Amino acid sequence: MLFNSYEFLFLFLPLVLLGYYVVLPKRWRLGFLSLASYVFYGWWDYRFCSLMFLTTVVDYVAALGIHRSRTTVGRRGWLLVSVGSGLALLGFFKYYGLFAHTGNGLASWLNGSPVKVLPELQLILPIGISFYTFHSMSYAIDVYRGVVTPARSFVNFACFVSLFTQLVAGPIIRYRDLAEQLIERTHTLEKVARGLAFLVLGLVKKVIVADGVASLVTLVFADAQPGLLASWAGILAYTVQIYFDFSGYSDMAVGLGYLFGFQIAQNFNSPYQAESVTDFWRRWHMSLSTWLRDYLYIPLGGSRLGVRRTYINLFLTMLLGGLWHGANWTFVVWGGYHGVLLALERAFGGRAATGRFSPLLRRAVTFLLVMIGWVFFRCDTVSQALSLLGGLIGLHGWGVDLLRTQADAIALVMLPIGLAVAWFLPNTWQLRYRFTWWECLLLVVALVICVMVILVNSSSPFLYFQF
Amino acid sequence: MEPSPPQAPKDDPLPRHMRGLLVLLTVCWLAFLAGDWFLRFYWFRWDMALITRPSKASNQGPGAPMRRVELPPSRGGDLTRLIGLAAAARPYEVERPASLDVTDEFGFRNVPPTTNVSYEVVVLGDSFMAHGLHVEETFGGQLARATGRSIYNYAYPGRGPVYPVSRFFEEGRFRARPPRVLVWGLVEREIGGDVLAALPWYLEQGVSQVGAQRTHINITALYPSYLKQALPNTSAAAQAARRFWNVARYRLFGRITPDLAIAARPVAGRSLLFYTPAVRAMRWTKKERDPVHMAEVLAEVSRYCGRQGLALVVVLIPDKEQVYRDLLPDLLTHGLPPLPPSTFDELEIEAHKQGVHVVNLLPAFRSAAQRDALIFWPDDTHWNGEGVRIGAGETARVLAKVFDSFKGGADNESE
Repeated sequence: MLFNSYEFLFLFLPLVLLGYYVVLPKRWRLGFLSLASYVFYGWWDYRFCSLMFLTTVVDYVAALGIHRSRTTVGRRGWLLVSVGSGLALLGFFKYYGLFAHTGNGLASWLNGSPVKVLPELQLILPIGISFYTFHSMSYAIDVYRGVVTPARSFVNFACFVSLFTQLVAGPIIRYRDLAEQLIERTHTLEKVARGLAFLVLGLVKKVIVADGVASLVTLVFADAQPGLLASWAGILAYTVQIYFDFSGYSDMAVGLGYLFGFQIAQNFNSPYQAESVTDFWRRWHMSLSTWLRDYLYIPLGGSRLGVRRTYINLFLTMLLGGLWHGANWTFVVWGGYHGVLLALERAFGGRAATGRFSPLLRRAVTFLLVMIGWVFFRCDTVSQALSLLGGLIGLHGWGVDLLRTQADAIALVMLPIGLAVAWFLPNTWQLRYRFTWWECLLLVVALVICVMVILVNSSSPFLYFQF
Repeated sequence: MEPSPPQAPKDDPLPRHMRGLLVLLTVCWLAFLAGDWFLRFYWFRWDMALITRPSKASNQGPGAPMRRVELPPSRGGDLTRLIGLAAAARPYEVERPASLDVTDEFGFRNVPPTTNVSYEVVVLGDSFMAHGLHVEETFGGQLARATGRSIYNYAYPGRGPVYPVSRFFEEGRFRARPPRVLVWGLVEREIGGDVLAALPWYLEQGVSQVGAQRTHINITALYPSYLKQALPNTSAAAQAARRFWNVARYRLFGRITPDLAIAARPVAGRSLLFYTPAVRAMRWTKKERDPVHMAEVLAEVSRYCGRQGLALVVVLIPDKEQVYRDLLPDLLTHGLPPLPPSTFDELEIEAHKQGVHVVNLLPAFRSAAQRDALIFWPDDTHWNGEGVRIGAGETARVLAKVFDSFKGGADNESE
């Protein structure tokens, strides 16, 4: 189920709000939220609820084991159970296909003829597995490190893992940020108002801006050799789409959290206003970058083991961070690309080196570097990405015809709007949530438009719905 | 930079206007929800999908009985009605001449009287089988002309392909004077899915329980896979939003709804409209279409009919978009893999293997399309008179063989 779907806005959310605030006693609220979250997750495929439940049980038990164990070996053993099971699940469902396909390809190349050394299973990737396994693993690791104490009850923990507001698309929440709120949290009109505002703004970003440019992205990226203008338009459109889609969803997650009394951390902080790639990663998907820092980069040694090792750790962290995004070598290339940029910045791009350039120039260069990375992120293959990059420098002609004849007018209007908002306007966390009458009216109009767009996009015309 | 730990919002109370707005929004939202859900049951009759009530063996057909109304000339079809704006639809609308709408005592499109009349063939299906300006121009009417046999049109527009079949057996009207053959029209985009697959079960289990069933909720109607489509499609708000946006899109950008696409070139001098969701349905994989399983379903239905002393002939009616697929505009296919072929041919082969009489209209329709013939209304999803005539002609050939087989059987018996 998606937040911007009919069944979420018109069925699920009203029922959950009704149950949470009106029907059920307070002590049942967490259990009810957990159950609702499983319904939310199972809406896509009920069979995978068992996977999430298994992860929850394993990590809950492992954390208790870590906490109660008196020996380091015992504690490490339980930690291995948690991390091992999480990585095994993730590795199997998400990455087995990639490695089997790559392994078979390599074996065939070595053999000189097609050969299959690994069976290529048609696995369904459980939605959100990357998020809930990371939620769950970080809990066990934090218990191991003594940062948090184990959850008071299984229901509390289950609610933390499965909470529908951030289950399928983040932010990646740490247990320590939610622990106290699971036990006690306030429900005020102020929170509701803030939550609704976040929800509406998130909907606008996702439904109006991101979905508005989507057709242009599809059009250009479907072309084998897009021309210069088409390539720039397509890549800029994707740059807008991924930011507004992801940050919009995060805003909706935050807003929904507020509706139930939870305060969820910020995940995006105007990343396209970053003045360096390092700065970009302090602003983009912050919950993931800090997770990678705390649970991968620092355990690898961080910057404590010398300059060369620092660069290697940076590179490895970003490489694996890229792989986390998807089971395709293009994601690995994207991650590695950012790893190289971060290492280079660390080596040569300190404030002393870049301080003499204007902030606008620094932002422009950073934006360009990030945009180039998105090409690999979006393309299905490296060769497709290289073809698109070739289009950026005019290797395939001007590409005017594609835009003139097939580009959607809405996408062409939404693209500069999206860029302007991303570059120049404050983000949702920088707004002061005390609106004037006019601002309130604007929000209401925006909500109505978003709802209408959702209604249009989720329904079929009244022609054959009854057959 | 660390992400800021969750900050408590400032505790200063909300300004009065924001409180008022919150209350107003909540009330409006609740009213909106209530209204949408009410209309879902009142207008769209979603209760019929959600709740199964004991079937009443009623003879009442889709229309008012004994109707004889002269309909004036009209313009436009179901596709141009999607455009939502008369000015935008006008270039694509096709005129229909005046016609005479006739129904029999039971509300079906037959010339009365039909009570106590024996018919050799009963035609089942949805709006395709009922479609025609005059009774004579419906599929049943054309089939009667082509075969010289007595044909009863039992088509139920707007209820899908399964309902007329189950209704025919529930009703029992033809038990006293059963036909020899049932001709069942199936439109391509209706083939597949759980509803059709469940028909054999219903015929075996449900028909005999007519009147004895208890009211119960259809659990399958609550499955997420069903609700995902059913809920927005039965939302008055969604349909109103679609209409509004169709008008706005045309006024702002001069473009008609993306639910429609215009053929790459005219056919017989006419601009042809395609229904975009039908083009998407053409991309269903073979696994989704599952022609082997569908053939098994048809075979089970055929065997059931056989046990009732009836022969079944299934008419496979291709979608307009399938017939004229060479004319699909580039914007529907650009950047996408080539459209897979229709599964009709495979379904026909599999059905024949199972002993089902099948009329696959795709080759005849494609052949006509290649001659630049217009066999569907340009502004509608339905076939026109020419399409009905070709379909009836192809079916007549198969019907002749079926009736010949009866004679052969009778000869064997007499021997």
